[in-house]
Amino acid sequence: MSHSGKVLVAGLGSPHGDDQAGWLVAELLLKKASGTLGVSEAQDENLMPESSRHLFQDVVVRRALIPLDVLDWLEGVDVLHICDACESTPGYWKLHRSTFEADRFVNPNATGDVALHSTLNSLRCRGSHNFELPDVLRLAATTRLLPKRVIVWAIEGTCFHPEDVLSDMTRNAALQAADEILKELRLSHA
Amino acid sequence: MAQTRTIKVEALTRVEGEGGLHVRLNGNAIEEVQLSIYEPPRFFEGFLRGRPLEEVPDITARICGICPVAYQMSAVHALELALGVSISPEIRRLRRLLYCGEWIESHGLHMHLLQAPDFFNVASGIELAARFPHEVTRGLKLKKQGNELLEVLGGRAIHPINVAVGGFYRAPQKDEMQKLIPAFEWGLQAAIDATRWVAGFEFPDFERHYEMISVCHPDEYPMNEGRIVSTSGLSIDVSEYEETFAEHHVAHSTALHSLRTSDQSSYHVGPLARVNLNREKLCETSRRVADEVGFITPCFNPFKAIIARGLEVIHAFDEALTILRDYKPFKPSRIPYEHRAGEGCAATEAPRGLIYHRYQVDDQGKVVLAKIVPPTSQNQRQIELDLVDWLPRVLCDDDQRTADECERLIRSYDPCISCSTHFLKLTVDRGGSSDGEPR
Repeated sequence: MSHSGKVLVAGLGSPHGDDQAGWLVAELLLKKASGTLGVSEAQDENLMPESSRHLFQDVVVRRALIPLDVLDWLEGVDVLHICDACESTPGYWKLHRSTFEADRFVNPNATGDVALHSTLNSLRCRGSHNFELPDVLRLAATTRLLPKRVIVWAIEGTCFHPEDVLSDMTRNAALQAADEILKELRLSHA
Repeated sequence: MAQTRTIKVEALTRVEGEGGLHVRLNGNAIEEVQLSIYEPPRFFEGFLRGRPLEEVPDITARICGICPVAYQMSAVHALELALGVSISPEIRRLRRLLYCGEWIESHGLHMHLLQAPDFFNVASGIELAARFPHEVTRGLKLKKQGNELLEVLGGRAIHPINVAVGGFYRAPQKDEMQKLIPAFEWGLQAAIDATRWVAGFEFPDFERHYEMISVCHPDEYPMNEGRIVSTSGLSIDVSEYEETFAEHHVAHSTALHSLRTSDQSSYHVGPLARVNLNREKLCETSRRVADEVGFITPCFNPFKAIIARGLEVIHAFDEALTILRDYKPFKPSRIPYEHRAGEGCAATEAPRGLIYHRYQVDDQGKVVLAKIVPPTSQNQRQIELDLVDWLPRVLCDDDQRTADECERLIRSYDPCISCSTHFLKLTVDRGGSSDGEPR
């Protein structure tokens, strides 16, 4: 399988209930990957055993508190996976995967990109200073920092308030996301 | 018949937090200007009571994601005074380095993404980036350098976790610090270029004559300690802060207004105040750039705070490089202490201005009282008074344009509404009073 370049997996979230989903994916991914997939860097104190580093040099997994964090991590990245919680919808599937090319972020309003709008607007991670995730991705695209491929993993949740706990439904969807991301990374980097 | 006109900005934009603006006019006469901060009170001072004092740096860091270091530094200095702890020169230098990181990331963000768009009539940093991709990319990279320093020294960029009463939980390794040097060498030059860029903006002719206040240290540019001084000749010890300044409730804001106790006058804190009162202590490169771009001090034009921020970013890179190059790991990274009952206060310089903390602790190491005065509550009344002067210059039939101009002035202060900031959205209520009297 061909190598797909440097990959950043960014889990976005907060400690509140199902909003932990993005962070959980990052954590699960690193735990699952240990010994099988190398993770070059883990920048959170709660993540990554030392042993899991350096087996692979070009997959980075990080947890973000706010979307602007991601902007600092994009240099040299070829593929960006964003994992974040989203509002629950009717239906069986609680995990949604969408792939976008960087160009689509430059001016999504003008292009009327309904799929992009719909995906990004469903995500939970909130920013500061008017920089929500769509703004950050658009800014990154405008300044040519955005990787050519962006994959958004939206994990459905229902409870996002302080002191809410992570629901079983969201935990399972996060597990599924970690499995699927790992499968993709193995295919592209093994 | 005089006509009453109300201009409302329901939600301020490109500031952190939630606030709005209400302006009432009678004809062209300004009757009332209210900067309303309606974000719910956050009760941090109450949360801290009864908590172990060791938790204070981590709890107060949560007040703000942009300037957590300011809260941590003010807290540890005040608590160390209460406990009688003297820190080592090495710890003191690392604290200045941490503050450099925060000034770089906060000023970098504000200069490029929050205030600069106002000089080009664009709505956001994203639109500005389409027009000035090189400059905005450079600004983002500057911000990134600040965050990387915070990660190395603080454990993470947002809400650092390495700050302790008495020092740091862990002193960084030499190689961790040295790895930062090449990027900081780039950052110093980039900060010079960024400051030259912003100094070339077209600034409104808007000189005010108010009191500017900052910390002042005899030997160094103010960050963590010093006396409190003003452009009107005030010079007090930090212990006299609460005799000199007092907070007041106002009906239209959940943030307190801080005023001088002597005459209930307002005042201005922030980078412009710091540069005005400490220009000679800026590093040589900052002073040279200030001269080169014709930045004359004292400067009382709030819009030019963006230049002061640039000069401070240069200073922060310069000082950070000195500390990084000289750094040797040291022990202990944290000075031990015994719990004792006591009280201590501290004033430090957050990116957006002077911040004051006072704590009382008991002999079990629990917080008995906490008082925190952030910069934005100190600037809030001054912003309202600036708007009273600014409005006649920008008032026009188009309420949206008027509101945009008001927001522009407010943003020049870089208010933090969550400590106290975000964007202003406008609603207009026009109407004539039947009796010709103001409503």
